[in-house]
Amino acid sequence: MSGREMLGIALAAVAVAVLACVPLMLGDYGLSLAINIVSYTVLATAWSLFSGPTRYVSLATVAFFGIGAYTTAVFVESLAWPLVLLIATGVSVVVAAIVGLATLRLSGVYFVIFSFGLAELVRQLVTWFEVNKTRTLGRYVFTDITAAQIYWQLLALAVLVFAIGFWIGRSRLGLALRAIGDDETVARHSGIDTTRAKVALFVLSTVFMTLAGAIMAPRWTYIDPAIAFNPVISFTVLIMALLGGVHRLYGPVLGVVPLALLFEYLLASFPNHFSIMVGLVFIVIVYLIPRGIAGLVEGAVRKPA
Amino acid sequence: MSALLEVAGLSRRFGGLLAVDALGFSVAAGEIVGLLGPNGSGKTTVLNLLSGVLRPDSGTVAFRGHAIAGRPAHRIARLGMARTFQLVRPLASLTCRDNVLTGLAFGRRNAWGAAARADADVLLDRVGLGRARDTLPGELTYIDQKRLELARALALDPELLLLDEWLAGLNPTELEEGIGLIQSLSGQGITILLVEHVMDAIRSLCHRCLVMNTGRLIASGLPAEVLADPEVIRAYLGDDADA
Repeated sequence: MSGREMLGIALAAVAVAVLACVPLMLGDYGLSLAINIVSYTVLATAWSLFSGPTRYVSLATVAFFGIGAYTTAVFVESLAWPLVLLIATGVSVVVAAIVGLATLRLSGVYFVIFSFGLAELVRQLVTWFEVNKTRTLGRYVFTDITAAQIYWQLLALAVLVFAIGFWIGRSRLGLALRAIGDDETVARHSGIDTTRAKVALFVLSTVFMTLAGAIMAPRWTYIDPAIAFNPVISFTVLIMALLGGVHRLYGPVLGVVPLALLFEYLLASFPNHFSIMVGLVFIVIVYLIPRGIAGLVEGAVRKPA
Repeated sequence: MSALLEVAGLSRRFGGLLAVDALGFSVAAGEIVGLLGPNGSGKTTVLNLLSGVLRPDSGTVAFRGHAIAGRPAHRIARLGMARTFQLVRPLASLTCRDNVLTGLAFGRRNAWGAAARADADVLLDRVGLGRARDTLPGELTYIDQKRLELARALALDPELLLLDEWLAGLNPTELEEGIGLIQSLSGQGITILLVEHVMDAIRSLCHRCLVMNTGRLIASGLPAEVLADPEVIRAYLGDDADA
């Protein structure tokens, strides 16, 4: 490991220690904002773990986030918390593996459309089940999990997603994924089992999304399919990751922080025009900073030489 | 001598076009075999069928005794069959070294870490790209991209190397170098099947030539013989009556 990487890890450890103290320093509003930011950090980093190198743009984020939230809603009162998280992980692995095997042979725009449809399909299935079987559309999430505990769990999850991302970047799997992103045919001819690599990473990335949803669910106290599977979450994650830059592990978080703050402001100031504003932000980002903030920073560092 | 590659009854249809029509041939270990034929005769399709880009509609391909027809490309690559592409296809976001590392990491060598990086550098030196290890392929000239693609193919430690017009577009000096490089690979024990139009290269390299026209094999034998074959001349130049 190089000296630069050691320094990076040391800095990250300090940052995590400071962030862990946030609930002790902020009031309720500040903490809820912090939870929002860490939650989107997990989602956007997990998203770009898969979509960054492979360039498969997924709009299925909320399908898995919602699966996690619903797992919590169903089991939180009857089972121990670690068991709930374990079930959420298991469900997402099964769903992601099936979906991955079925769809990752699709390429480009077909995958985008499919992933969007998947989120909608899961939402309709849950709705159908709730209406016809349990005969209730919403569920209450009663637990004694506090906001600070939610924050700490999300922070731990964020550390885990960064650690795994760091490991993948240095592993064969990372090289395989970058090769796939460049030219899948050539990757196959280099001996890479492209389907296996893609499915493995897709599953891994969705586990983090699912866990984020499971951990976040107690924040709402009441959920229904429209809340848990709100497609805006998928788009928000996508915009954040693109703004930050998907070519670097630290990229998405650079997009999450400013956008989470901006959306918070827009939602409070222009509640009726929020969607229009988000759309405009999306267009501006894609046109003006296609390589994201991480790309801008690197470009600025390299150029002056 | 048993054949390294044994092809029988290989066919592939694209809609109404029978691109490869019941093709059969074999390549012995250590040979350099030229696959010739006019444009559109099905040569590249044959390479795609052998290397697993396309599935054959019918027919068998035995490579090192394994039936590989219809198998996925990565499995065929791991058995020791490597190829280059007619239009170069470097992995654009990876440095030259990482391009070569893909073959080392996922092919038969199964190498990773510092040892693999050292091997990658040896291969880059071998094709004359030692100075460009950390360069992105986009900054290389066309010729150097071809060298890179060859290094990446060699990283698979192939027993059979498929070269799709690898010598096309080289100037006379580069052509001489390229021919020398292919000869040295052959000297190392790598069997080579090359699709080529450069006649000088075919004459000086190939032990044997196969000539295709409209998906079928129309001649096979020594380069000088097949190039003098009336049917081959007709395939390339048309009938006297047309001329």
